[in-house]
Amino acid sequence: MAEPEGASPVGWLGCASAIRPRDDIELRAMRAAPYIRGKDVLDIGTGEGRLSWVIAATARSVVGIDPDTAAIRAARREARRRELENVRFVSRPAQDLRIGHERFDTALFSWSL
Amino acid sequence: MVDALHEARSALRPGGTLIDLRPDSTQPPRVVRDGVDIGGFYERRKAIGDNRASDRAVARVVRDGLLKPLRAGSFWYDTSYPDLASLDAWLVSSLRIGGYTRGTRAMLRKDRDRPLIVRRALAFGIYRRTEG
Repeated sequence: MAEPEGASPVGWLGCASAIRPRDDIELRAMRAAPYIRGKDVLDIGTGEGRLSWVIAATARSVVGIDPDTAAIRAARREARRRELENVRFVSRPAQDLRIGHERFDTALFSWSL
Repeated sequence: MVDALHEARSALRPGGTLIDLRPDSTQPPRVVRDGVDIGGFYERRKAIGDNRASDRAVARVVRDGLLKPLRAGSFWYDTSYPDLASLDAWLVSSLRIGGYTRGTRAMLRKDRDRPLIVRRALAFGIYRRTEG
Protein backbone atom coordinates (compact mmCIF):
# COMPACT_ATOMS: atom_id res chain seq x y z
CA MET A 1 0.00 0.00 0.00
CA ALA A 2 1.43 3.39 -0.94
CA GLU A 3 1.65 6.03 1.72
CA PRO A 4 -1.73 7.75 1.78
CA GLU A 5 -1.97 11.24 0.46
CA GLY A 6 -1.76 13.92 3.11
CA ALA A 7 0.43 12.06 5.58
CA SER A 8 1.78 14.31 8.28
CA PRO A 9 4.53 14.22 10.92
CA VAL A 10 3.27 13.39 14.39
CA GLY A 11 4.38 12.65 17.88
CA TRP A 12 1.62 10.37 19.11
CA LEU A 13 3.51 7.23 18.14
CA GLY A 14 6.30 8.25 20.44
CA CYS A 15 8.57 9.09 17.54
CA ALA A 16 8.41 12.59 16.11
CA SER A 17 9.87 11.48 12.81
CA ALA A 18 7.16 8.92 12.12
CA ILE A 19 4.72 9.64 9.34
CA ARG A 20 1.30 8.23 9.85
CA PRO A 21 -1.64 8.04 7.45
CA ARG A 22 -4.26 10.74 7.24
CA ASP A 23 -6.23 10.95 10.45
CA ASP A 24 -9.48 10.08 8.71
CA ILE A 25 -8.23 6.82 7.22
CA GLU A 26 -9.60 4.74 10.07
CA LEU A 27 -13.05 6.30 9.93
CA ARG A 28 -13.12 5.96 6.16
CA ALA A 29 -11.98 2.34 6.30
CA MET A 30 -14.79 1.55 8.74
CA ARG A 31 -17.32 3.54 6.63
CA ALA A 32 -18.22 5.25 9.90
CA ALA A 33 -19.59 8.49 8.45
CA PRO A 34 -23.28 7.58 9.08
CA TYR A 35 -22.48 7.17 12.77
CA ILE A 36 -20.59 10.47 12.99
CA ARG A 37 -22.23 13.08 10.77
CA GLY A 38 -24.60 15.24 12.80
CA LYS A 39 -24.24 12.98 15.83
CA ASP A 40 -23.17 13.43 19.43
CA VAL A 41 -20.04 11.30 19.72
CA LEU A 42 -18.09 9.99 22.70
CA ASP A 43 -14.43 9.34 21.82
CA ILE A 44 -13.11 6.90 24.44
CA GLY A 45 -9.33 6.80 24.67
CA THR A 46 -9.00 10.04 22.78
CA GLY A 47 -5.41 10.70 23.89
CA GLU A 48 -4.48 14.11 22.52
CA GLY A 49 -7.62 14.17 20.42
CA ARG A 50 -6.22 12.70 17.23
CA LEU A 51 -9.54 11.28 16.01
CA SER A 52 -11.68 13.87 17.76
CA TRP A 53 -10.56 16.55 15.32
CA VAL A 54 -11.73 14.47 12.38
CA ILE A 55 -14.99 13.59 14.09
CA ALA A 56 -15.64 17.21 15.08
CA ALA A 57 -15.60 18.27 11.44
CA THR A 58 -18.97 16.62 10.82
CA ALA A 59 -20.38 15.61 14.22
CA ARG A 60 -22.76 17.77 16.22
CA SER A 61 -20.58 17.38 19.28
CA VAL A 62 -17.61 15.35 20.52
CA VAL A 63 -16.59 14.50 24.05
CA GLY A 64 -13.09 13.02 24.22
CA ILE A 65 -12.25 10.94 27.29
CA ASP A 66 -8.90 9.60 28.40
CA PRO A 67 -7.31 8.77 31.77
CA ASP A 68 -4.06 10.49 30.74
CA THR A 69 -4.37 13.98 32.23
CA ALA A 70 -1.37 15.35 30.32
CA ALA A 71 -2.84 14.17 27.03
CA ILE A 72 -6.19 15.75 27.91
CA ARG A 73 -4.49 19.05 28.73
CA ALA A 74 -2.79 18.94 25.34
CA ALA A 75 -6.10 18.14 23.65
CA ARG A 76 -7.80 21.10 25.35
CA ARG A 77 -5.01 23.43 24.23
CA GLU A 78 -5.32 22.16 20.69
CA ALA A 79 -9.11 22.58 20.76
CA ARG A 80 -8.65 26.22 21.79
CA ARG A 81 -6.05 26.72 19.06
CA ARG A 82 -8.44 25.27 16.50
CA GLU A 83 -11.28 27.38 17.95
CA LEU A 84 -13.56 24.35 18.03
CA GLU A 85 -16.78 24.87 19.92
CA ASN A 86 -18.26 21.41 19.54
CA VAL A 87 -15.43 19.51 21.27
CA ARG A 88 -14.57 19.08 24.91
CA PHE A 89 -12.23 16.78 26.77
CA VAL A 90 -12.54 14.99 30.09
CA SER A 91 -9.85 13.14 32.01
CA ARG A 92 -11.45 9.88 33.08
CA PRO A 93 -11.05 6.12 32.63
CA ALA A 94 -13.46 4.22 30.38
CA GLN A 95 -14.63 2.14 33.36
CA ASP A 96 -15.88 5.25 35.14
CA LEU A 97 -17.26 7.70 32.61
CA ARG A 98 -19.42 9.62 35.13
CA ILE A 99 -21.06 11.65 32.42
CA GLY A 100 -24.28 12.20 34.36
CA HIS A 101 -27.39 12.41 32.20
CA GLU A 102 -25.50 13.17 29.02
CA ARG A 103 -26.18 10.64 26.26
CA PHE A 104 -24.53 10.05 22.91
CA ASP A 105 -25.49 8.67 19.54
CA THR A 106 -22.10 7.01 19.07
CA ALA A 107 -19.37 5.77 21.39
CA LEU A 108 -16.01 5.00 19.80
CA PHE A 109 -13.34 2.98 21.54
CA SER A 110 -10.34 4.26 19.64
CA TRP A 111 -7.55 1.72 20.24
CA SER A 112 -8.67 1.67 23.85
CA LEU A 113 -10.82 -1.36 24.67
CA MET B 1 -13.26 -4.38 29.89
CA VAL B 2 -16.80 -5.57 30.40
CA ASP B 3 -17.17 -2.66 32.83
CA ALA B 4 -15.96 -0.24 30.17
CA LEU B 5 -18.41 -1.68 27.66
CA HIS B 6 -21.28 -1.38 30.14
CA GLU B 7 -20.30 2.21 30.86
CA ALA B 8 -20.12 3.06 27.17
CA ARG B 9 -23.42 1.36 26.48
CA SER B 10 -25.10 3.25 29.31
CA ALA B 11 -23.80 6.48 27.80
CA LEU B 12 -25.57 5.71 24.53
CA ARG B 13 -29.07 6.76 23.62
CA PRO B 14 -31.41 3.87 22.80
CA GLY B 15 -30.42 2.55 19.38
CA GLY B 16 -27.03 4.26 19.62
CA THR B 17 -23.89 2.87 18.04
CA LEU B 18 -20.75 1.52 19.66
CA ILE B 19 -17.58 1.22 17.58
CA ASP B 20 -14.64 -0.87 18.77
CA LEU B 21 -11.42 -0.15 16.86
CA ARG B 22 -8.08 -1.68 17.85
CA PRO B 23 -5.03 -3.51 16.56
CA ASP B 24 -5.69 -7.06 15.42
CA SER B 25 -3.44 -9.37 17.43
CA THR B 26 -4.14 -12.28 15.10
CA GLN B 27 -2.10 -10.48 12.45
CA PRO B 28 1.15 -9.18 13.97
CA PRO B 29 2.64 -6.04 12.41
CA ARG B 30 5.02 -6.31 9.45
CA VAL B 31 7.83 -4.06 8.30
CA VAL B 32 8.12 -3.20 4.63
CA ARG B 33 10.92 -1.55 2.65
CA ASP B 34 10.57 -0.50 -0.97
CA GLY B 35 7.36 -2.48 -1.19
CA VAL B 36 9.04 -5.69 0.01
CA ASP B 37 8.06 -7.43 3.23
CA ILE B 38 11.29 -7.55 5.27
CA GLY B 39 10.08 -9.11 8.51
CA GLY B 40 7.85 -8.60 11.46
CA PHE B 41 7.36 -7.78 15.10
CA TYR B 42 6.08 -9.74 18.02
CA GLU B 43 3.50 -8.34 20.38
CA ARG B 44 3.94 -8.41 24.12
CA ARG B 45 2.10 -11.20 25.89
CA LYS B 46 0.16 -8.69 27.92
CA ALA B 47 -1.03 -6.90 24.79
CA ILE B 48 -2.18 -10.17 23.24
CA GLY B 49 -3.85 -11.19 26.50
CA ASP B 50 -5.59 -7.82 26.78
CA ASN B 51 -6.81 -8.10 23.22
CA ARG B 52 -8.27 -11.55 23.84
CA ALA B 53 -9.88 -10.29 27.03
CA SER B 54 -11.45 -7.47 25.03
CA ASP B 55 -12.75 -9.98 22.48
CA ARG B 56 -14.29 -12.02 25.28
CA ALA B 57 -15.80 -8.93 26.88
CA VAL B 58 -17.44 -7.86 23.63
CA ALA B 59 -18.72 -11.41 23.03
CA ARG B 60 -20.20 -11.51 26.51
CA VAL B 61 -22.02 -8.20 26.16
CA VAL B 62 -23.38 -9.35 22.79
CA ARG B 63 -24.41 -12.70 24.31
CA ASP B 64 -26.17 -10.84 27.10
CA GLY B 65 -28.22 -9.06 24.46
CA LEU B 66 -26.95 -5.58 25.30
CA LEU B 67 -25.30 -4.94 21.94
CA LYS B 68 -26.21 -6.23 18.49
CA PRO B 69 -23.37 -6.68 15.98
CA LEU B 70 -23.93 -4.67 12.80
CA ARG B 71 -20.67 -4.98 10.93
CA ALA B 72 -17.06 -5.99 11.45
CA GLY B 73 -13.88 -5.94 9.42
CA SER B 74 -10.21 -5.19 9.33
CA PHE B 75 -7.85 -3.05 7.31
CA TRP B 76 -4.17 -2.22 7.04
CA TYR B 77 -2.76 0.87 8.65
CA ASP B 78 0.68 1.99 7.49
CA THR B 79 3.08 4.19 9.40
CA SER B 80 6.29 5.40 7.72
CA TYR B 81 9.70 5.90 9.31
CA PRO B 82 12.60 7.65 7.60
CA ASP B 83 15.20 5.11 8.73
CA LEU B 84 15.97 2.24 11.09
CA ALA B 85 16.98 4.54 13.96
CA SER B 86 13.56 6.19 14.05
CA LEU B 87 11.85 2.79 13.88
CA ASP B 88 13.99 1.57 16.78
CA ALA B 89 13.06 4.68 18.77
CA TRP B 90 9.37 3.99 18.26
CA LEU B 91 9.79 0.35 19.17
CA VAL B 92 11.41 1.19 22.51
CA SER B 93 8.42 3.32 23.44
CA SER B 94 5.73 0.89 22.28
CA LEU B 95 3.62 -0.67 25.00
CA ARG B 96 2.18 -3.21 22.61
CA ILE B 97 5.07 -4.30 20.41
CA GLY B 98 7.81 -6.28 22.14
CA GLY B 99 10.46 -6.35 19.42
CA TYR B 100 11.50 -7.64 16.01
CA THR B 101 10.96 -11.24 15.04
CA ARG B 102 14.10 -13.32 14.52
CA GLY B 103 16.24 -12.14 11.62
CA THR B 104 14.22 -8.99 10.93
CA ARG B 105 16.62 -6.47 12.41
CA ALA B 106 19.60 -8.06 10.68
CA MET B 107 17.78 -7.58 7.38
CA LEU B 108 16.95 -4.00 8.27
CA ARG B 109 20.54 -3.19 9.23
CA LYS B 110 21.70 -3.85 5.68
CA ASP B 111 20.05 -0.65 4.45
CA ARG B 112 19.58 1.22 7.69
CA ASP B 113 19.07 4.67 6.14
CA ARG B 114 16.21 3.67 3.85
CA PRO B 115 12.58 4.56 4.69
CA LEU B 116 10.49 1.85 6.31
CA ILE B 117 6.79 1.20 6.67
CA VAL B 118 5.18 -0.55 9.61
CA ARG B 119 2.02 -2.25 8.40
CA ARG B 120 -0.51 -3.02 11.11
CA ALA B 121 -3.85 -4.75 10.90
CA LEU B 122 -6.65 -2.91 12.66
CA ALA B 123 -9.89 -4.70 13.43
CA PHE B 124 -13.21 -3.04 14.08
CA GLY B 125 -16.70 -3.97 15.15
CA ILE B 126 -19.80 -1.81 14.96
CA TYR B 127 -22.66 -2.56 17.34
CA ARG B 128 -26.12 -1.18 18.06
CA ARG B 129 -27.33 -0.70 21.59
CA THR B 130 -30.26 -2.95 22.29
CA GLU B 131 -32.56 -2.86 25.28
CA GLY B 132 -31.75 -6.37 26.45
